Amino acid sequence: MAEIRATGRTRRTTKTIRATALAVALTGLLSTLSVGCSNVKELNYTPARMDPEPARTKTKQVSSSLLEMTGVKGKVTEPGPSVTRCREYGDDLFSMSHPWSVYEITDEQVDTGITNLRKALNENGWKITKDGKAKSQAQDPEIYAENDAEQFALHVTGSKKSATGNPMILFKVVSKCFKAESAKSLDGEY
Amino acid sequence: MDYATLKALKPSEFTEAADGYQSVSAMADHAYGSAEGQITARLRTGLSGAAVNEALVQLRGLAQNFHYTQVECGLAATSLNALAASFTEAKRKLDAAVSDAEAQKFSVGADGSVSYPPGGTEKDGKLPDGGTVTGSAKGKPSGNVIDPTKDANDLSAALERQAANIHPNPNFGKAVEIANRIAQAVAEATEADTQWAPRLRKLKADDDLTVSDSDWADVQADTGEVRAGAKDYLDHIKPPPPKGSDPKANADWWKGLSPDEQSAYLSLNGAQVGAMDGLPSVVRDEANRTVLAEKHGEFQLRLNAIPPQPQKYVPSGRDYPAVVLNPAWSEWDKKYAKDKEFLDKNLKGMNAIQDRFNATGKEGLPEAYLLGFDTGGGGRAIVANGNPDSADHTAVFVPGTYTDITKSEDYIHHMSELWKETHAKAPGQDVSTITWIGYDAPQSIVPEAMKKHYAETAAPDLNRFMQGLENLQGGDEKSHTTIIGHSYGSTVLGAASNAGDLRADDMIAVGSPGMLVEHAKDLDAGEGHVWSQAASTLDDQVPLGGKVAGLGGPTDWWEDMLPFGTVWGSNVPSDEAFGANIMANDADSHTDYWRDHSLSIENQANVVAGRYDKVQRG
Repeated sequence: MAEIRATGRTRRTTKTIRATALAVALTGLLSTLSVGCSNVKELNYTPARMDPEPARTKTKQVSSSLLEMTGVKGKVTEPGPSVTRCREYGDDLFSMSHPWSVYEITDEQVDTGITNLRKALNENGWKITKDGKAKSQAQDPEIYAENDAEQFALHVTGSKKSATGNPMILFKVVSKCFKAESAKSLDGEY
Repeated sequence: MDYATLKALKPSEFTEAADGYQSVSAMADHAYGSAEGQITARLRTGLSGAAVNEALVQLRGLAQNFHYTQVECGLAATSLNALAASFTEAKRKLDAAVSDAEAQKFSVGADGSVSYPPGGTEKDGKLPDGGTVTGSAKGKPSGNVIDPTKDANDLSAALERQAANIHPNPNFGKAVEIANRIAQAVAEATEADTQWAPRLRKLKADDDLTVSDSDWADVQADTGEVRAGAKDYLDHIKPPPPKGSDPKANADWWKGLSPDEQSAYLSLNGAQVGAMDGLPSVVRDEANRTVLAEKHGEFQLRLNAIPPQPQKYVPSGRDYPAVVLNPAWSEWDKKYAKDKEFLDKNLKGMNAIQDRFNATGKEGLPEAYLLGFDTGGGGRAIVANGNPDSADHTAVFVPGTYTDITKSEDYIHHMSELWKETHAKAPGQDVSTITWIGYDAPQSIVPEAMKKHYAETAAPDLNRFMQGLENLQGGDEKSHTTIIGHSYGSTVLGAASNAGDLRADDMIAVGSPGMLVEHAKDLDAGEGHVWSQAASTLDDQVPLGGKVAGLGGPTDWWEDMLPFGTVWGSNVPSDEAFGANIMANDADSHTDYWRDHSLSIENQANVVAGRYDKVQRG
């Protein structure tokens, strides 16, 4: 009997400690959340005024110039850029995102393309921010770069042949956030 | 309708007319698809400017017209089929009665009367005379306890029996019986005629070219009327398995219907057909699009009927307080505020879905399929980019806390982007990415998202949806399927794994608060195929919050605390001990341009495309 009571007391003590810890953790969680909800995050730059249509055109031009820089001739995936709201920074802000690839090429062309690109990026107003191997099992070569004048950034991966697919150069072109005419003008943009 | 008309009537003429309407409906459906997707896509290629934009607006108007034509002609076809079915039944009764008359050597007059020859026992060297009788149809019994019509019918039948018994000519009784059957058949055909004529007339559209909200609201009313009228016709069609049935049973039921029966179900019970897992995606899409258009019409009209909100505060006419609460505002608020909020919310979601349809073909965006739509609860919207039935790679996205129909835009958008990302990594293969707003999600982090019952309620629905997809695709091996759970959505994946068999090859948990299992190997995708992405910024709080709430695994004392108590030791997917493949997050991207989701969506696409060796690890 005494033993059971003792156990019961021990459990209760543990509970009290855990409950206190929980309350502390929850208070922290709630305060972080309420800060997060009430404040829109701030960009460290002033977004340029641009509408989605010209931004699309601009993105396609950037993508085309990058393809040219690789000097590689292959098939290119067709879909164009998407408009995405920069909701966390403001309702009337959006950025462009354009994933595409050059495929039906060889591993050698992948290497040549990346080498050409590395050289050409520097000559065309791009600043390479990271150049090395991707942190993937395949460890493909990858480059991150940004172009302040054009307000675009790039992630390019030289995706070599592997068990999961054929060689391709994979591009992800994204823009800074632009300021649209209004939040409403971004309705229905994809 | 009289005897002569029914005798000459060919029910096949009505079924042929129904076929005609059905082909117009099918053609309109085809044209709807072209106007929405293919033509606009070609128009957008290489052209831009005000003229093109205006042309696109006109094309969308045209697409709406085709959609409306498709639905109304579908209703007309079903109405005509139901009418033909009633006529066929009446005609069969009439023909049987007439052939019985002929067998008895009776003759049937142009007015439906029956003449019988002399017959019976000779009396005074003479057979009892022949004669002519006119039948009467019975009234329709009400089926109530007190049923005067049934009583009258019974009484008249008894009188007729008596009259026949005392009549010297035995042919008399037989003739009366046949004449009554003829009258009954004519009465039934007349009833069908008078019932359907006004309904068919109502299906005639107004002659303007704009399909307005009230036009769609009318369609909804028309459908209700046709459904009520076609009850007998529908009762002859094999009923669908009950709600929540095995998707395979649903698929078998659908395949077992004739094309006319399928059309009838589509046009009369769209919401039911659209919600049935296991039915082909084009069928569900057709059904749900009509439900969407009708609901949009209805909700917009309801919203338009709400008077404008009066000013909340009005001058008091005194110095202090200078303003007072306007009583008119209070009254308005009490009467309309709740309804307005509901309508606004749902219309926002519906507009986002329609926007996605309108964007088909824009910058290579594939056709969209509406696989689920409902305004009940928090609202349901299941939208696919690309046809999942034939996809090589399928992704299903289960969103988390705060999800309801108003979030449709963001979530459909996310899957549209994922479609493009995956397409770039798997060129030449068919990809389908699906937003599954298919459950009532918690609407707060504390305390709602700390409860697991939302996930456990959602689990069987998700399992049926995934099972239905797999069946349509032709089995487990036909499509590589990835299911992505964001925040509380990943808890739903865990619950679905626990509840049965979640049909997925890969699972991605994004910002997961816990998956209700202790280890990745306990999930249906299996170890090595569970991927974890800790989301950035605000979502980073979620894995910790999940641990606090105990969504990470079993414990014996959680009832003592909050709903689940604290389980400091339980695993969430971003813990190494959980055994998921941890993916890199955006902090590794070394550039300010990179938005929070840029790298995470690239990585999601690598998994969806089956390019595991290309996934960036954390």
